[in-house]
Amino acid sequence: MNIQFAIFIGYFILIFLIGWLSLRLTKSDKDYWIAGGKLGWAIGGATMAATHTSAGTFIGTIGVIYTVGWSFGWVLIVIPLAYWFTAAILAPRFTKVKELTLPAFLQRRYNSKTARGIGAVIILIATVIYIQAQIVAGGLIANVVFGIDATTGMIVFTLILLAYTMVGGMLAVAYTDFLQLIIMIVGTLVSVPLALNHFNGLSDLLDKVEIIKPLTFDWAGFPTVLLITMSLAFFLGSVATPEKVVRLYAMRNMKSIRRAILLTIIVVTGINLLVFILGLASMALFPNLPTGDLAMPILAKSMLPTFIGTLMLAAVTSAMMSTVDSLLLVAGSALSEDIYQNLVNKKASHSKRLSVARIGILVVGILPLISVLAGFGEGELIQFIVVLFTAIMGAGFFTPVVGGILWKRATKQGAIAAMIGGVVATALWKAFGDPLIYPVVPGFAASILGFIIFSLLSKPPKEEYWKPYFEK
Amino acid sequence: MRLLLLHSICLLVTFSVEAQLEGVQVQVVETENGFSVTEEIRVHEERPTAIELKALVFDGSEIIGISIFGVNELNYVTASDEDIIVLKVDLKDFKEDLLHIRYTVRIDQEAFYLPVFFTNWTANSSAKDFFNLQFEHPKDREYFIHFPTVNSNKTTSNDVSIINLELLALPSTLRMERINSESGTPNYIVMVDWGVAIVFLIVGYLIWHYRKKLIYG
Repeated sequence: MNIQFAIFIGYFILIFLIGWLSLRLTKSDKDYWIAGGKLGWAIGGATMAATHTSAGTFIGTIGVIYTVGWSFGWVLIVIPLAYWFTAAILAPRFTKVKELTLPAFLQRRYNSKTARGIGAVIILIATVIYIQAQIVAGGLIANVVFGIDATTGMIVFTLILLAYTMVGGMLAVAYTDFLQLIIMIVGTLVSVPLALNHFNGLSDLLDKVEIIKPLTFDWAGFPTVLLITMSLAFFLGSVATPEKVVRLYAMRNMKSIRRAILLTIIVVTGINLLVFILGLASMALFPNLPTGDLAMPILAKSMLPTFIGTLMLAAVTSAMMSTVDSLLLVAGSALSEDIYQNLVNKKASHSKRLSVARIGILVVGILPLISVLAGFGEGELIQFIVVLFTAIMGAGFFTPVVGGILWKRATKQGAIAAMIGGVVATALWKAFGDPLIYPVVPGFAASILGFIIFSLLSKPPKEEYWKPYFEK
Repeated sequence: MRLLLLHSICLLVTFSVEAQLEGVQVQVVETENGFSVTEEIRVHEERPTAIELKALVFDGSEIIGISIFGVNELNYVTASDEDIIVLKVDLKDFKEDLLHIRYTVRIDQEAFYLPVFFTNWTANSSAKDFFNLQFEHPKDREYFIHFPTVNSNKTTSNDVSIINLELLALPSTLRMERINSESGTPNYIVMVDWGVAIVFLIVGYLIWHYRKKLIYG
C-alpha cells in the first residue's frame, strides 16, 4: 500500500509540475485554449488519443464486456471510421479558419451569437454528465487501490483535476495527455501477457470464459438493434464532440492533423483490442463482481506486480484525467468566450475572461460531484453514462458542424434547430422512448430534419460567411 | 428508472439474480492426500431458493470428496463436464446465512491451480476483506502465490505456517507453486516490474531529448 501510495503521489507531483511549467509558457488566449495552434502531430495525436481513451475505455469497456459479452466490442469498429471521416471530410475545411472554440466556429459560420450561446449551453450540460462517469471511476480506483471509501476518492480526484486544469490550460492538457498516453500504452502492453500467463494462452482463456459465461460469445448478450444504434452514437460523438474538434485547431497544419489522426486510430484501436482481452481475463478470474466496472481495478491490484499494477491504475486515472481536463477546458471556454464575452460583456479583458473561464471550470467540475453524491445515476454502468454524453454531443453538434462545411445553403436558423432538436429529441427518447433503439437515432434524425427544413425556410446566408470554408 | 431499464435489458440475459453474496472465507490445509479446502460462503437473508456452485477444472488439479452443508448436510445435483464442476443446490429449506463447501484438491505438479467454488450470484460489495484466505502448510515447505498477487501475511507456530490474504472479490482459482531450495522463489514478477521502470526511464529520456520536435513537429 505504501509503494502504491508513493507511485500515485509521484505521478501527481509530475502532473502538477507539467501544469506549472505550462502556465509559464501560456502568454495569450490562443496559448491557453488551443496551445497556440502550433502543435505537431506527435503531441497532437497523443492528446486526441488520450482524450478518446478515458475511463470509458479502461473501466467502462471492460465493464460492459464483463457484463454483456463480446457483442459490445462491435460498437468500437466505428471509431476508426469516425477518425477517417474527421481527417478526410471535416478537418480540411473546418480548420481553414482557426477559432478558439467550437461555438466560435458556429458564430463565424452562421453569423449568429445565439448559435454560439446555444452551443455553449449544450456543452456545459453534456459535460456535467460525462464528468460524472469519470468521477465515479475515480472513486472506484481510490476504493481498490487505497482502501478508502469511494466517496472520499471521488472528492479527492475532483479537487486534483480542477487544480491543474485551472492553472495550465490547453498546454498543460496537451503535455499531460502525452505523458498519460505513454503510460496507457506501456501499461496495457504489459498487462495483457501477464493476464494470459494465468492461463494456457488465449484459447484457454476463451474456453474458460465460455464455460463460465456462455453468453459472452453470443449476440444475445446485447440486443442487435441497440448495438447498431449505439454505434451511431459513437460515430457521431467521435467526429463532432467539442473537445475533439478543438484539437484540430491546436495543430499547426493539415499534414500534422492527418498524421495525428493516423496515430490516434492506431493507438485507440490497439488499446481497445488489448482491453478486450483484459475484460475476458476478469470474467474468468473474478466471475462474481458486484459491478463490471470493478473488473479493471481489481485485475490491476490482484493480477499484476505492484509497480505495473499501480502504474496501470495510474494509467487509467491518467486516461480519466486527460478526458476530464479537456472537457473542463471546453466547458470553461464555453462559459468565458461563448457566453460571457459573446452575450454579456463584449469588451471583457483577457484577465476577466480567464477568471470567468476558471470559475466555469470550477463550477462544471463540482456539479457532477454533487450529482454523484446525491445519488443521480446510481447503479448505471460507467460506459452507458459515457455513451449518453456522446449521444447528446453527437446529435447536437454533428449536423451543424459537418453540414456547415459541406452545405453552402445552411443557415443559422437551421443550425439552431439542429442543435436544439437533436439534444431535446435525444433527451426525450432517453426518458420515454423504446429502450431498444438508442436515443441518438431520433436525436440525429431530428437534428438533420431541423437543419434542412429551417435552412431552406430561411434566407440564404451571405457568401462571406460560408466562403472561407469552401475555398480551394 | 428509465435509465435503469436500458441497463436491465443488458443484464437480464446474463444475470437473473440480485446481489446475494456477502463474503467468502476459504481455509486450505495441506494434508497427505492433497489440500483440504473448507469454503464458507455468507449469503444474504433474502435470496433465491437455489444456488449453482461452480469450479473450473485445471490440468494437474483434481477435486474430490465434495460435501455441502449448513448446520446439516445439503443435497446437490451435479451437472459437470471435463472443464467445469457445477453443483446445483436447493436452498428452499435452508434458513441459515452460511453455506459451507468441503472438498479436497489433489495435485500432481509443483506449480498448480487450487480451484475455488464461485456461484451464479453476484457479490453485493467490494469490501477489502470480501474474500479471505487462510493457507496452512508444514513449516518445512515454502509456497509462492502467483495469483492473486496481493500482499499476504505469514505466521509460523509449532510445525505449521499460515499464509493469510484478503481480496476485494472472490477469485475462481488460486495459482500457487511449491518452492524447493533448488528452484528458489520465482522472481519474474520483480524482473517485469524493473523492466517496465527501465523502459519508462528510457522513454522519458527520449521525450526530453526530442521534446521540441515532438511538440512542434
